[in-house]
Amino acid sequence: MRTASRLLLAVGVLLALPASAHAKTTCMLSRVSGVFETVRAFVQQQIAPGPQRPKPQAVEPAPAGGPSVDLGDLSKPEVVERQLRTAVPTPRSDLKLTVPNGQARLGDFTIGSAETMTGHLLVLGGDANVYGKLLGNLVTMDGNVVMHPGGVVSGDILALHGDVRDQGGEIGGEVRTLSAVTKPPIAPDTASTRSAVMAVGRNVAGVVGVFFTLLALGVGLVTFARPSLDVVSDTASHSFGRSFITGLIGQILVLPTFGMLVVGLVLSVAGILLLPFAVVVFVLLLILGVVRHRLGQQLSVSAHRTGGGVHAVGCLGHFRLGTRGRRDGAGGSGTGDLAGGHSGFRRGAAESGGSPRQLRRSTDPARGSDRRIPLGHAAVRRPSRAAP
Amino acid sequence: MRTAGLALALAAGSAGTLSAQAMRPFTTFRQLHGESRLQARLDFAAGQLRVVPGRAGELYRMSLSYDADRFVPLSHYDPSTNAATLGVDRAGGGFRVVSRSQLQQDAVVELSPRTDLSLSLSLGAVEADVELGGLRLSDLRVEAGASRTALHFSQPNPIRCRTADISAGAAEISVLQLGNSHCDRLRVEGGIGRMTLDFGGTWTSSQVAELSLAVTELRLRLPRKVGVRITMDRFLASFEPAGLVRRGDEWVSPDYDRSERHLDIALRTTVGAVKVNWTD
Repeated sequence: MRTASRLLLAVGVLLALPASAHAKTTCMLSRVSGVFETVRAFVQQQIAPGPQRPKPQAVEPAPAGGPSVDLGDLSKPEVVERQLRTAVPTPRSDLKLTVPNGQARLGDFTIGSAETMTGHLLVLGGDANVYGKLLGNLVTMDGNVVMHPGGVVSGDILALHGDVRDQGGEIGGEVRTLSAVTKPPIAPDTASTRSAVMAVGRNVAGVVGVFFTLLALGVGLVTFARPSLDVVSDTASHSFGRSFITGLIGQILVLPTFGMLVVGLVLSVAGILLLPFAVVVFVLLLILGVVRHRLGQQLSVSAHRTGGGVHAVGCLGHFRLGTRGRRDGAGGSGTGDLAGGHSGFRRGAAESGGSPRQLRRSTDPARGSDRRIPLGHAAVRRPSRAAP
Repeated sequence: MRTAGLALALAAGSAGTLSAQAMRPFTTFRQLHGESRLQARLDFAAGQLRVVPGRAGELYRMSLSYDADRFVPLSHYDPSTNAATLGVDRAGGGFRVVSRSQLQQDAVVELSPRTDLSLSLSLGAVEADVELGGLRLSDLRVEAGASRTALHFSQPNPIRCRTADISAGAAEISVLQLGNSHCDRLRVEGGIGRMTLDFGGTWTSSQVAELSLAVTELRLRLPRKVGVRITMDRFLASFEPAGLVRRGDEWVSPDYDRSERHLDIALRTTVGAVKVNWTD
């Protein structure tokens, strides 16, 4: 029995040993792998070419009339950046640039701890390391500013597309950094495609919704407000200049009128209650006005083109009436009333400057008297009266 | 029909163009050089703004991400008056409609807790979270347009604040722990919106509040330990006194006369609602 238990123990130890050894080996391997990764990254960092930095050198002042950048006021960094972009499209070795009351440098630049520089300093395409004193403003473009302990800049610092690292220096003025534009992160392809499709779908739905809303407004206008629509149509066709000027003034006055309405209601205190309703009504009236104007224009134009609405489209009532007249004409045996209605259309076209063909066709003996009828009435009203 | 199709396609495709907005990071700060006071003006036209107490060695700092196409950063300091102007302003004039993408701008402004601060906030279409606790606030002025603003006094103000002026348009404003502000006088003008005034906090002196509101729902959170008196002039406005007792033309808390510190509120409201809650 004792032998059997010893055997079992021995088997257990034998089974446990490889597992433990395996665990240790795995742990060691992962450590070694980590060390290798670190070394590889370090070597890669050393070997891989960094961003192209120009060779450190002074930039000569430009001749009179040449590029110049004033670093006296850095409160508007985007303006300074624009000036620099114009004056220095890309840092070049043969660059010439004037900095009033200062100097420009290309590449990395260091102010030593024993140095004191007077005037503004511009460093292009490199870092500015400040150990000493700079009595003026400091600007870097595509480079960083490093303020080391004991370093002093009496004026402002601006780092364009760079950073300012304050490691214990003294900065008398304001420090600003303006980085490059960042685009929003790009989502994975599928997600972006899906979101684009959804966005397009949403916008299409919006446009369709607006279309149907306007359509409903148009139908309502034609159905319930045809007389006033006729007036709009007549005015647009007969007095184009007047309606144009009136519309222009109306558009200019829309916002002031709205403002006055709101201010007036607010000032009256009690009218504040009406403010939300007034805003909604104003917007609806505006939409109504635009739709009526468009419909009136459409009526006028279609009447001009087709001769009083026989082929008018875009206006349901007009289309219906025109169809009736047309059916009668096509049959050639319509009643006198309907024929009168038909000729009414023709007369409208002739009086409003219809085509010679329409004029010829309108020499129908059954068209009755030759009195002048306003276009809108001729095109829309007369047939409806003539029809039974 | 072809034109309509083209217009439809353009309208549908425009969303993708609009959403690709370019934001630009901008940072500004100024070291503290023994200044004893700071007049800070924050102008923020649109976006999200957070104001917090700053680092010990800095007078102010602003980290901003702004829409470079439509806005410009504001960063200016006048050493002669110790006046700093920070924020974003619209690039160019004219009428602009604020879109949702423009509201993605955000700024974090840090202000020195070591200098006496005169703070002026001008907020447009902004969602602002302003932590004033721990700052040495000498006076405060807030002009809020169509904004949602929360002002916190989570810690007592180390100095006495003369006045706090808050003017709101169509805004939602919450001012929390006003007892910590140690402001002698609070003036509030509210347009259309919702306002919460929480007078909790550590009271060291009495306060006077002048509230002039129109079409505003006002929620007053009053501390029980302070004697409260409300003088009210209201028109078409409801009022839930909730524990206040009517005394002539005034509403007072039951222990007003025995209280060491008082909160006197002169409230003028037109079309709105006033609700009172009590806090311990």
